[in-house]
Amino acid sequence: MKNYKYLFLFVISFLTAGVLWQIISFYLPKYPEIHHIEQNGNSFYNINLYKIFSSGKKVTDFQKSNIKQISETLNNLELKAVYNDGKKAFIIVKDKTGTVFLDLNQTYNGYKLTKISSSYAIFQKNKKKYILSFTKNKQKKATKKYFNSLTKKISKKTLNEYKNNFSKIWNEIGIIKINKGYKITYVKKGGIFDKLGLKTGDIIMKVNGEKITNDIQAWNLYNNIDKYDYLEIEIKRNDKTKVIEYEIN
Amino acid sequence: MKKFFAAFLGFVIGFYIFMPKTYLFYYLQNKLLENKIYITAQLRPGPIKLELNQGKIYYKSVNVASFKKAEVYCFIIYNETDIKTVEFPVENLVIQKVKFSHTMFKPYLIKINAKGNFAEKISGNIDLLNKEIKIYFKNIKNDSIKEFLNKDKKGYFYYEKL
Repeated sequence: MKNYKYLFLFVISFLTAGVLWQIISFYLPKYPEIHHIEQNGNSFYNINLYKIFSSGKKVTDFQKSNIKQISETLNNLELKAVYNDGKKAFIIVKDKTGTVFLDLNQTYNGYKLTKISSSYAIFQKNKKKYILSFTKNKQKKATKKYFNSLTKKISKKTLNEYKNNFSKIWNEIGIIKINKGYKITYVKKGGIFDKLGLKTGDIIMKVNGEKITNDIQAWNLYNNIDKYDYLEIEIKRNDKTKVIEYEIN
Repeated sequence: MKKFFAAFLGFVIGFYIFMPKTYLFYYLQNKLLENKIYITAQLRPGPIKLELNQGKIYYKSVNVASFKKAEVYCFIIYNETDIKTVEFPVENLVIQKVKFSHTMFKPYLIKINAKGNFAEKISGNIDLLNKEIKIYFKNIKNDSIKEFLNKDKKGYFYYEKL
């Protein structure tokens, strides 16, 4: 009987911990943070360390300068990558001849590289400053001239309504990440996703021809969904690939 | 005393098992984002650990590192995070494994132990109280790394103080 008393205490304490976490959970976020990753277009970000560290010059910390003073922009160069760890700083640019590495304070065609920031570089020539920043990737709008009869139509209003109400989406659909893509685990009957032809067990493989393999891609798509006029979702259903097309108007 | 021990044991086990590891990760994700750090990964919560797969770390929207697998053990008294294969967006720089450990007996100190392809043994501390990081690199394989480090009697080290 004595042992039962200890067991009872053990179970009660065990369950108390569970209840405590339930209360704490109430105040914790239930969904992952949506964060749109800006693409800087720095496609040369893969840098070979052995090449980088060959010059051996030390670079002092940068002084913050007033960007408003910058009057012109360098158009003949394309900024591909920046590197700055406080001791060493350089940029990679692309000109007509190809790719060029430029250290801080190095001169290129009379333009002295005076500052390197995370998203731009500043050159100086004849006391005038020039800014060189990453070329922003333009959002590709998917367009298609012909719509077949199987194309489903969604209004932009409905799309925005769901985009701006995150919990409404999760009330009507359940999605989990698997190796191949994103698997639909639940579709509410009569809900928007049901009407759009999605079914439980479908695996979303591609959207507009691009593979959706990670959360970043998924969140990027989610954040830019209202910018599309046409969507093409490739799904795998019962081991067969199917394409569902949507016209957004 | 036995009653207390039974109750304590039950509470501790329940505390680990019922811990909402995924929600706590989302909370951490929110807090880090306030400092412009964004972590994304595939989460796999288990009874005693949280597993993160194919993780990516962004700072100011720039991908600064990615890792294949991380295991977070949160035992309150002793906490540990094991990360495997950390890659950086620079070639030839990989940390094969890194372990962060924290104990309640020294709550302001986070210990780091790692092994990378540029140094055989990486060890150091993050001192939250003094806001400083000191990491020693032993058996450095890539000499170009030395240029970024300081040196004392113990060897090459990286030091940062906020």
